[in-house]
Amino acid sequence: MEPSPAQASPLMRFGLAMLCMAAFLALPGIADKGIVFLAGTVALQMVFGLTWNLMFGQTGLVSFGHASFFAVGGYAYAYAARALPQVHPLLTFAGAGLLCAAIAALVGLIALRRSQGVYFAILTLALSQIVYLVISSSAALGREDGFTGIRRPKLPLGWTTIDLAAGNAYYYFIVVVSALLAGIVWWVTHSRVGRVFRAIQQDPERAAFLGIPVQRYRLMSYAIASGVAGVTGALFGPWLQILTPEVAHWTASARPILYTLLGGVHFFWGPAVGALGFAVLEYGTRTLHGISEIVTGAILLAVVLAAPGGILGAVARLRQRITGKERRP
Amino acid sequence: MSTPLLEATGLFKSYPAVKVLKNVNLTVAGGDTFAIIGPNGAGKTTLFKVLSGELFPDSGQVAHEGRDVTTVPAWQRVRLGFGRSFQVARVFSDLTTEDNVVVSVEAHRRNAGLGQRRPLAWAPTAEVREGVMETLREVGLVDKRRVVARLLSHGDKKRLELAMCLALQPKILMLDEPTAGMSPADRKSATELLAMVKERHGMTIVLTEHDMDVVFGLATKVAVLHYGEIVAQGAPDAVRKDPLVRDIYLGHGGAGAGHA
Ligand SMILES: Nc1ncnc2c1ncn2[C@@H]1O[C@H](COP(=O)(O)OP(=O)(O)O)[C@@H](O)[C@H]1O
Ligand SMILES: [Mg+2]
Repeated sequence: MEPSPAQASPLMRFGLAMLCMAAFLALPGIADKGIVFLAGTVALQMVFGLTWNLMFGQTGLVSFGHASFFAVGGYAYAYAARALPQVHPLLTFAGAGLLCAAIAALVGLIALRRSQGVYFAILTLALSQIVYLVISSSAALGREDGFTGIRRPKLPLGWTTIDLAAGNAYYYFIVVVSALLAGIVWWVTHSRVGRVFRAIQQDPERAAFLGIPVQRYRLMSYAIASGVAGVTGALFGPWLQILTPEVAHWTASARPILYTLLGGVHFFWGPAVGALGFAVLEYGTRTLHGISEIVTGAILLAVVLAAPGGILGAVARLRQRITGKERRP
Repeated sequence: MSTPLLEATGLFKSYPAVKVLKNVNLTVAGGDTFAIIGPNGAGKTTLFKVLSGELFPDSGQVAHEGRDVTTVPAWQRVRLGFGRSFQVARVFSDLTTEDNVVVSVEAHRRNAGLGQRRPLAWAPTAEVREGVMETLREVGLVDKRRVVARLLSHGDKKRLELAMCLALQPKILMLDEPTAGMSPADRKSATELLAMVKERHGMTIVLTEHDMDVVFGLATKVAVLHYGEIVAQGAPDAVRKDPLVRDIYLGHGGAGAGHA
């Protein structure tokens, strides 16, 4: 199912993913607080990017409003954790995700009814505007000032209770749960359902003539992506300890698209690599006051133009050039 | 008389600019190899779309085993046992040959209620892989199973599409110009492949052709479509002798009148 014969072997790719996770886990020991905070945010953005590409790269759905679910998940968790503090935090996190999946399923029933992708793209954009307006005008959600004082919960695990507010506990929690969420998206992508998604992405009509209920699977893709995106948003609230309507802004919906372009749309890990690259870019240009966006934008543009397959596309071509001669009989 | 497997009555279908189907009636019995022939532009593909559920007719009825399926969408008709190929082969071009068939076998198994036994495993199950290999062997694509479908030759794409249809184990195999655009040699081997498939699975086949000669070895029944109307229907020999049919095929420009 992989688009390029020059990709690393599955074992090697698994090893790289593990190495990446180990690096995240080792970070607090070697880096300062600022970098650790950035890394936690990046871990969530990596998963957020993966969920967008589950829709786009795998199923062929273009969403311009993916941040709505990040925001709804974030605010729903923050609200529920305050209103129902006795509920196990893992349930509250999962609940925020399920709420997002349910909203996506309902919206998708309308937005996916027409087969034209433009219709879906515009409706997701409209949804994100609605979410933005609702959040920024709702007193219960803190309006423009934001939802403040979101606490990092205590995590009862039966035999012990971990206080996620202590030290770097919440950072480790983010990394572990992000890995788990990425694993879920990986599994969906590589399972039978993922194969159906790819078939639909390439030719929905042909897929229908194999007896595949195309709309149902598109809905499933949208709901899964939105549900997982909701959990990443839910995790983000306690990390920042405040949520502002910015998380639902259309620029936040543009991020996973940029990650995907930067990392490589044809690769499962493309958006994650893109999110990482994006963060490095932003960090590297943070001292260029006033022009950091311009420099970031220019570098992004250069990468996308020079390497249409993104970073991973360029890596694959390089591998092909190095190993190509041996591969050919 | 028993209920026909597939029956069309009084089908009309127009596109904004052209009336394509004009009162089409046809009856396909179980076990038939039913060929719809007619020159290019006669409306064969349109009729195919209406029969398979890609398009709905403006009026008229399509019945499957006596049940009205006129407005049943394509993917549900597949579950009733329809398997359809396209005039220009449509395969999932970024997937390998093998994975195209994997998707088809898995779609069929799911629709047939043959559950996967390992719910957490992501790779195709042993049963699926077995079915895939068997189907690839049947159409002669085993050697090319790792090739990305986009890189297959035209003839091989048609074979792959046939494999995808066969993977569905259809009761009615619908093939829109299965030999379109092939060289005479490919055409011959494609026809032989179809005869073999028919013999092995015994399913009903409905196919279209613009070239009359291709179908005469294969068809048990022939319908001639001419400007959207069925002008002759019956056993191949009787149809071939029909004066109107001779006129359509031989009258204007000789035996090659139907060739694009
Ligand atoms: N989607 C369409 N829109 C408008 N006209 C069409 C369309 N498809 C086919 N036609 C017209 O309908 C007629 C029959 O086409 P078709 O069914 O493809 O015939 P055949 O398969 O016998 O060559 C032709 O005149 C063709 O131009
Ligand atoms: Mg045609």
